[in-house]
Amino acid sequence: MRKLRMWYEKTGRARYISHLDMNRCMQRAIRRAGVPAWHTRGFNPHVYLTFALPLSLGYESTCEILDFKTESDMSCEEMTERLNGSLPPGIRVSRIAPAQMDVSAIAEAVYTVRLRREDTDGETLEERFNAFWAEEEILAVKKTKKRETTLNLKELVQVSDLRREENTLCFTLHAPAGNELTVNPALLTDAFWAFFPGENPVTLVTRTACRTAQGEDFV
Amino acid sequence: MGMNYKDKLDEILMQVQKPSCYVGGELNSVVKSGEEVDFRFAFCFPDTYEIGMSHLGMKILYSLLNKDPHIWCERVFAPARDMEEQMRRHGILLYGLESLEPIKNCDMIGFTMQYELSYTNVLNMLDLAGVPVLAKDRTDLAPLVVAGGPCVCNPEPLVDFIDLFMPGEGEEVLPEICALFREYKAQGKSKEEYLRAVAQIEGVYVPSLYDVAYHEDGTVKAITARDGAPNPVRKRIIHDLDKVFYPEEFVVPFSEIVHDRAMVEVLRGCIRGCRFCQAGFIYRPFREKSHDTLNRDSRSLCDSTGYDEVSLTSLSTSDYSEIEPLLDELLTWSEKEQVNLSLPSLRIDNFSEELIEKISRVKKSGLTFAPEAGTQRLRDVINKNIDEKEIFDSCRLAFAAGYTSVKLYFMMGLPTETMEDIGGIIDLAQRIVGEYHRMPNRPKGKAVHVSVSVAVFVPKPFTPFEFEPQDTRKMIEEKVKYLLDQNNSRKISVKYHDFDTSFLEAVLARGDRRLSPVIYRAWQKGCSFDSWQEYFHFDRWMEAMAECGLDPAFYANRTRPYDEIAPWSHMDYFIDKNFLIRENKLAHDSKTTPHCRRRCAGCGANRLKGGVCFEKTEDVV
Repeated sequence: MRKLRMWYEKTGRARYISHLDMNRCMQRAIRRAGVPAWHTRGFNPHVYLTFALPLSLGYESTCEILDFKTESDMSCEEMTERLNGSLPPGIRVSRIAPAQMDVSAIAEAVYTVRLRREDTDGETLEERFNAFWAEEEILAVKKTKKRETTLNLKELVQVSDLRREENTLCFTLHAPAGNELTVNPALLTDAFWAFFPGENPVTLVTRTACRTAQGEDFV
Repeated sequence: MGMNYKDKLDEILMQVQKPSCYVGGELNSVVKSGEEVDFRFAFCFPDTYEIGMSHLGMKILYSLLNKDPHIWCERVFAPARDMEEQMRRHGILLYGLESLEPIKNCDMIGFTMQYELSYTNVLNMLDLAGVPVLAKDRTDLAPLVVAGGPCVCNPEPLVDFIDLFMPGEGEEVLPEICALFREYKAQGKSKEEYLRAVAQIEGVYVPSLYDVAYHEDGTVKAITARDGAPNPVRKRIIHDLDKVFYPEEFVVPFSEIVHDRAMVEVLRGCIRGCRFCQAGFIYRPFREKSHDTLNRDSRSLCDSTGYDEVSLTSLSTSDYSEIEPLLDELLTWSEKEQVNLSLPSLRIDNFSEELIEKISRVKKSGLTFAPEAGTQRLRDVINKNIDEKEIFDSCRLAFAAGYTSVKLYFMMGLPTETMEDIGGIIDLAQRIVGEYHRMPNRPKGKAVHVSVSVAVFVPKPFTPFEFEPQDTRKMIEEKVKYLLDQNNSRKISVKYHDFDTSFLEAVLARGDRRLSPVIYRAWQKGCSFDSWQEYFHFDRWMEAMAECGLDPAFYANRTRPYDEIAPWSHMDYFIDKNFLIRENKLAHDSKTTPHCRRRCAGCGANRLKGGVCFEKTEDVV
């Protein structure tokens, strides 16, 4: 039995597919493609998939990771090719390879964040964001099912490569992700929009990498 | 033309629930470009994505139209309230999921009318699309608004809004009306010219070419046709189901929908003749597909979608004469590929051990039976020809196979019903519980559960009960109270339907044209999603009726004399009125009528010269 890891992209309209729907979507694609993934036994047999890191609804990603098992000899290349022939638009497998690290090794995620709003231009957005980021503390409340914690985002995340693309402000964001602590980019962008209020802000986030605590790519 | 809402949607989609329903892009959705086609069709299902995407008819016609390289058919569903609010606020008109472009630029906008409580959604969707809701306000040829589906057997309440109805089955007539439209559009003809010409196609009803006169008492005096339009209008059927188009692919939704599986249509119509059932009559004659066709359909659907369940759909799948060979054929590959087989709509009386074994192979779905009435006498009245022995035998088989819960469907308000019949419902459920406990090998530690679901009977056109009154609110309330009082077992749970929605359904089902302004008024008052409990405003509907000077009881609670002209009498569904009168009289005598394969009851469907009416049988039992 081989434990395999699949890297895939989820972009464009596919960003509106929820996590649960993604699970169902992948299961069907695997079935359509004739990829011999291992099924659970029992009352409701289905393909067993585990996702390394959840992705919020509305986010794109070029580095989604999911693990599955197989008892067959089919090559990873063939599986990749078959899947790419049967996936809906917006979802594409980049590669499949044997899983190396344990999922718990993930410590950080890298995002590209794009902000825009109809009533404002790129220059104002950049100026306001710089003012926002200049604060010593940026506090946000992280809510989980069990508790609420207040975090100082300035200590936890790094913003780099701030730039304008016409009327959109873009930057790269490094944030903790994984079993220890996950900081959702929404905590930062919500705080910014609260700092600079206005109607109908548009926040587009794309996850681009998953890293270990040592800063290496997760494989 | 060609304005695409892609970027605008990003602004609002994170504000609504289930955003993936509004963006299209699903596997197998057909994306063409406006330039490559000369005819665009917006297929609208007047309810949400989750419900509409479960509808088989839409899938068939969507694939069928898109096979034509000149036509682009897109799917449109009613946005949920939160999305509707966002759309109105941001000036986003109702758009097709494939193009993300407004549908008001389409040539034809089609609605499928599945149930009466979806009527206000039709108006709301037209309004959201920026298309005039009233047919008389749409003066150009395009967009033309058309409708099909079971409710078209009595389309009168919708005549103010729809330009053209298609009674019967759409696989042939829909492409025909599209072809004629393309021809007339190319020649620059007017809407009136098109409607006059299209009315000549068999299976087309153009309401604006008919006039209705009324007696003083509000009943119909006469329905007359103009400009050579046919009277009556005959429904269209597909004679050879094996040759008719069936899709090889279905659009696979991302989000969860009500019925998310590969649906294969096994047959059309029904041989049983249950007297309350409209679908069984309006889809006659009973026609089957061959098991080869069905196996092939199932296979290609699973391959193209990745679904792990095949549902063999029809009004009464166990009447399918090739059910055993079909199941055997399906099982040669379904078990290996982990595909579950589901057979909804099984009759209690031909439920066998072999059948239950075959459908439970991969995964056990729940078991549901529909006795419909609590006593044998009332079951005979409604011609549901099953007796208690059959009910208990089937439940025993189910229990022996490991099922511990059974769901039973009943109705209340049936003609000649008494409190004894209502009590019979609980009595039956209790004896089923008793059967379970009498079984020597029942699973230890698992209690049996019988769920009883009771609906309010709604008399429908083209059934022997189209003459009957619906029970009044008071009568139903008394019966519900009695029913609940009779049940004192925790192993039996009782659910009953809301009266108000059933009452409105009864009004609309046998309504006439004078209800059109009522629907308009109700929609103006904010009614939509009437079949959804949280959005149904009964009071606004009653206000609308009163403002139009009409009494709902006239439509729902009146016994209609046999010789009264029905508002749908100009629609010919090949169900003879004399047959319906005969059956109605037999019902009142508690006499049953055998099914089509035992003896022909002369319903009139044999005028269509097909199906079971002309089946060769060696042994008629």
